[in-house]
Amino acid sequence: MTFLQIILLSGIFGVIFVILHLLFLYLISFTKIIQTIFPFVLSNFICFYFSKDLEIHKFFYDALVINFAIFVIYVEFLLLLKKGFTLTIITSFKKKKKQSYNSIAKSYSNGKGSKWILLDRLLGVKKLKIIKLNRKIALSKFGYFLAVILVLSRKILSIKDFG
Amino acid sequence: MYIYLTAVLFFLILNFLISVLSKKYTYEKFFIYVIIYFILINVFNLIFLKDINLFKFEAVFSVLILFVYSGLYRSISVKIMIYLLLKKNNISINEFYKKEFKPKSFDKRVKILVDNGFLNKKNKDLFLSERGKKYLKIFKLAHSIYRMKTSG
Repeated sequence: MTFLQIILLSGIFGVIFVILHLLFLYLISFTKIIQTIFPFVLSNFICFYFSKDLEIHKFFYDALVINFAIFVIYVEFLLLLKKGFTLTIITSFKKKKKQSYNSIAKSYSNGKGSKWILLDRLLGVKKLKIIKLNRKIALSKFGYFLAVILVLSRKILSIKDFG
Repeated sequence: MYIYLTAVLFFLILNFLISVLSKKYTYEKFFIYVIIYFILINVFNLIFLKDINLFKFEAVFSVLILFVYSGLYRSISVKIMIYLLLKKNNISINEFYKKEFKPKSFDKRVKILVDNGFLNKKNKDLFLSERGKKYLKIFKLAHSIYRMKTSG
């Protein structure tokens, strides 16, 4: 029963959170993914406030952890829509119905091209000071340290290949 | 505390065994494994332990591990970093694009889409299959709901 009450509370949170996010998106143009934190915090406050006189309230702190898990799933979904590599290949068929391999590479992401995605990701990691980007790409000391951690993490999770 | 450590270790050992036993351990297989693991461990928890903290821990652990795995398996930035670490020499952007990115990331993704039935291949041309068209409609709808003009 306790499990069900936590799931119920988190379910209510989930609905409020998505509605609030969409409201912020349409009314205040919250288009950045980082801005989803605001509706997340607000919907938790709303759940807390409206459940405080109810029996279910004692499970609020337990539900908070599940709410965080819901938030991570939602952010992952938004990231997939916004940054998804494979998804963008499918959407490149919106305008052209038949394409060759090279044509897909050219029309990728509304005509930005497949090289653009590489440059975009390189600039992203350069901003974080993970790589040095002059004529050649080179790892910084921090990048080297991070790359070692990544290799170890891949070993721990038994990842052999890249997708 | 011990129960959490045991749960994580059990998860990792089982994951290692599955990766050794399966021919190609893809993200999809890992995803299915995490879902099954989460359901089974919580059924066990619900029947025998009735521990809410374990339920909370497993929920967050499963979501975060999927997030981390997806990054380590698919992220282009991670691929670049590991490539630079293992090759030990610097590379120009053009060279990296031609030798690594285009054939091993971009073309590979297109091939995966063909293999999974999202794209059909006729001679050198590729076009969306019925399944691909269905997904394109869903993506278009999701993009319009979230007011995303471009992706990538």
